[in-house]
This record gives sequence, C-alpha cells and structure tokens, in this order.
Amino acid sequence: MLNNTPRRFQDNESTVTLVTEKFEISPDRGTSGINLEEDIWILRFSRTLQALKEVLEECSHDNWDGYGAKAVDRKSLDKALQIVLSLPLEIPPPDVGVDPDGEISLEWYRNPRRIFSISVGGDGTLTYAGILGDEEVHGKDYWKGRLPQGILDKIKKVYMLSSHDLFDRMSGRMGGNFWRITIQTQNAA
Amino acid sequence: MKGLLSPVDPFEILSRYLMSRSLFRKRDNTVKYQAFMPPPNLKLSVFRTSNLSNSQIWEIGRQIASSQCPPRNLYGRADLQALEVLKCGLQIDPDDNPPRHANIIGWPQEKSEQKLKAMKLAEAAKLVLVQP
Repeated sequence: MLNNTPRRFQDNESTVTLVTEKFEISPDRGTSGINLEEDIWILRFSRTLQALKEVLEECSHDNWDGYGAKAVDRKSLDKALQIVLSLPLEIPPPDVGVDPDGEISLEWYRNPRRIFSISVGGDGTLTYAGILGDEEVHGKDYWKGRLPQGILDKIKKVYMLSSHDLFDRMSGRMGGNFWRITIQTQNAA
Repeated sequence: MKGLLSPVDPFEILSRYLMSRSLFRKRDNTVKYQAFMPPPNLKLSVFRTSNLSNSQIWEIGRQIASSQCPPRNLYGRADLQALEVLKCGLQIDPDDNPPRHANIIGWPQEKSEQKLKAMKLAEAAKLVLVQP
C-alpha cells in the first residue's frame, strides 16, 4: 500500500515541501490524479479480467473478424488466466487479445515501438514477438508454472525509458504512469 | 466499381477492413497486430484504395461486412502504404477479385515470425474509424 502524504523538510531559512504524487498521463485525457489508497492488486486484476470478459464476448464464435478467425480456445484461456495470476508484482498487467487462430494473447504495450506479446497455446506453448525500441524479438518458449526469465526480461524492456520517451511524456504525447515531484518553498520570515 | 489489375505501386494505399472491436485500440487510435495476422492459407486480404473517394472506400468495406454470414459490423479500417509491406519482406498479389482486391503474401510459416511482421505492419498503419 502506498500513500501520497507530502513529505516535509525544514531548515532555518525556509520550509520545503516535497510532494510526491502519482499521475496518469494519456494523450486523450490529459493528467488526472490516482488515488494511491486503492488496492493495487484489485486494480491489476480487475482491469485484466474485464479485458478478458470483453474479448470473450467479442470473439467467442468462429469468424469473429470477418476473415475466418477461430473462436477463443478455452484451453488457451485457462492457461492465460494462470499466467496472469502468477505475474510477479514488478510486471504490469497485460492487455488481452485474441489471435485469429483462437489463442489468447497477452500484450504489454506502451506505444507501437514498445510492445511485447505472448500468444498462449492450450498446451502451454508461448509464442512471442516484440518491438522493443530498436530491438525486434520473436520466438517460442513453454509455460511450466511460471513465465521463463527471458520473457520476463523482455516484458520489462517495454517499460524502459529512453531520453526520447521522456521527452514524449513531458510533452504529453505518450500514455503511462510516472511520478511528478514538485518542491514548494515558503520563506520563514 | 472499376477493377485494378496493374502492379501495385509502392506508394499506393492498401486498406484492411476491421470487423471486430478487438482489432484496434481506441485509447490511442492504433491498430493491433491481430488485424494483420495472416489466415491459414497465408493470404491476407486487403483492398487497393488509392484514388477512391472516402465514401467509395467505405462502400467496399460495407459490402465486405454485409456479405458475411451472419453480416458483420464494420468498425473501421487500417490504411497502409504498400511500401511498408515490401519493407517487411512480404509481397502483394493484386488478384482484383473482387475488384481492387489484393492479397499480402509471402508470410513465413512460424507464428512468431508472422506476429513480428504483423506488429510492424500495425505500427505503420493508420486507423480510420467509421464515423457514427
């Protein structure tokens, strides 16, 4: 549990208030505060489960895309749920999608140049691909009760910041969460 | 509508019609890679829409959506320059059946490679949503 109680530091000359406050920035909505008293775990799973519910409604029948896609594979869905619920805390919750072959895809997305996706096979096959800045990756691995370390490392790379990304965030062109720190000073006299 | 059998110019626009909400992100108006994943026959269906009016482009999409069984909703389209397809090492086969139709071909067999190429196409594509 986190809180955003301002931290205060005082010296002889002035009172300095350091305010740490978590913000979400999206290109559409501008800035909006987040209540850090929220239970982070509930937030994580409710969003992902809601996304799962939506794709199930949309893709539970054959030809859901108009090009002959297969309906969601239930075994893939079960495995995807196991993966989501096993994610370590430092890994953000994924977006959920469905591939035309019916496999559930778990997607970590910041922008089209920072994306990593795993397609979950009903037998535990993990087919992944990603664009991580200048790096492009793809391959196959297997679910054995936890995500392989190589895949976790690639997911983390989606959220690594470059100086270019920082500029985008400061100018409000990119969505995501970050911490804003402001220093307020007030003369003692 | 008049067909097009000429070879595809790299600067032509190819449109992929989107008949599911799960194929795009509304929050930042981007296309998901699933919109460009090839079907089992490895022929990804697109239409050559350069030099058509906006209403003509949507008319093709509405015909495609209504010809489905049952008919599908048309939510939007992903527009892509043919050059981006070629840059991914894929080819375009203009079969003109139905008129202005083409297939993106040359896909690898491995799904992970298909995903990466589909991601690159999605990155280059522009999402155009149907206006309510």
